[in-house]
Amino acid sequence: MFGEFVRNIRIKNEIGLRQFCLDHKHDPSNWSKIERGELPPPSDDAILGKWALQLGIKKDSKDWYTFFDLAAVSKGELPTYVKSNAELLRELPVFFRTLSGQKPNEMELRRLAKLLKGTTKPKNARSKKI
Amino acid sequence: MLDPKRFKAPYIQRDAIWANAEAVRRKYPRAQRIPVDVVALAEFDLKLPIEVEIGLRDQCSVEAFLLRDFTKLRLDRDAFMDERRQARLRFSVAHELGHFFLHSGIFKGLAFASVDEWVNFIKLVPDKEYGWIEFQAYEFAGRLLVPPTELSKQLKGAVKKAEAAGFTDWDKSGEAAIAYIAAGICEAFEVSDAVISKRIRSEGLWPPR
Repeated sequence: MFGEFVRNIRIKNEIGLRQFCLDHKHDPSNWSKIERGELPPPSDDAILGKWALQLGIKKDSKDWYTFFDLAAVSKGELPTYVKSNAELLRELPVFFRTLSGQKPNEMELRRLAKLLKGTTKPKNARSKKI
Repeated sequence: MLDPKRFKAPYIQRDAIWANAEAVRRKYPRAQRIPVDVVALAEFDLKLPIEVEIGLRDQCSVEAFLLRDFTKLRLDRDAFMDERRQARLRFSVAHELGHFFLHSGIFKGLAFASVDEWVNFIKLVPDKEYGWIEFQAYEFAGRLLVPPTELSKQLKGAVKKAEAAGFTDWDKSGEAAIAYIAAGICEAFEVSDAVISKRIRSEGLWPPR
């Protein structure tokens, strides 16, 4: 709920994900996880306030309060970082833009399924602040 | 379950692919400006959420894909953020939009019971048929990012300059001349010179007249 609201605000204000992350030094994969509800919002209201302003939400506006309300609700939810099998099976793609232009091989497909399920920590993952 | 070995790519004529790309351009003013901002087109006009994932390229050789229900576009984080790879990223997004507009019905209703079933399905789809689908998405992406009227204008300017410098023998010049010309005009479209070379040939603009 919080993530969807954040994404909708960003899209409504026509702030591209890439530019938003560059401007405010967010890691795009972590921010993306926030937007899809795979990571919970921070519990610190000061950080939340900073995010709200970065998204162009005016202080004390209706969106401002909704933003904080949804963050409070989402804090109590378990993050959905690890997907259920049913969710994963619905998402698995059939078209891929690959480096070679060919289909991924079996090993790559299995790695992709693990990445999408959320059970693999990417090798090059860096612990960055959001 | 569809037998993947019997899968046949839909036959979509090049003119129909081009017409699809031009229909998108007509509908969305953002697609009428050069360079075409396909990422914004996806996010803001088509409301196709862009999601970013670490490790897609490094671990799976995949830079971009649409989730199977075509509701989201997932991109590799490093490809997404690297300033030097923006031309490729833009083409990747345009390519996925090609699938979005051309291929949404192909695997409609397809459901997998396990990851193994999915892996086997992808493996068994004939390479030739898969190649056709990819070709169609490439052609759509190229046409969307490089509108022919603007390409023709840019090409005329580049050719004029080359002729002013004394070069006229286009027919015998081989690949070197088209590569040189493409490198000179690719920046305007924010695509690679290889994309421009392909578009010039595909649009029947070579050799210049």
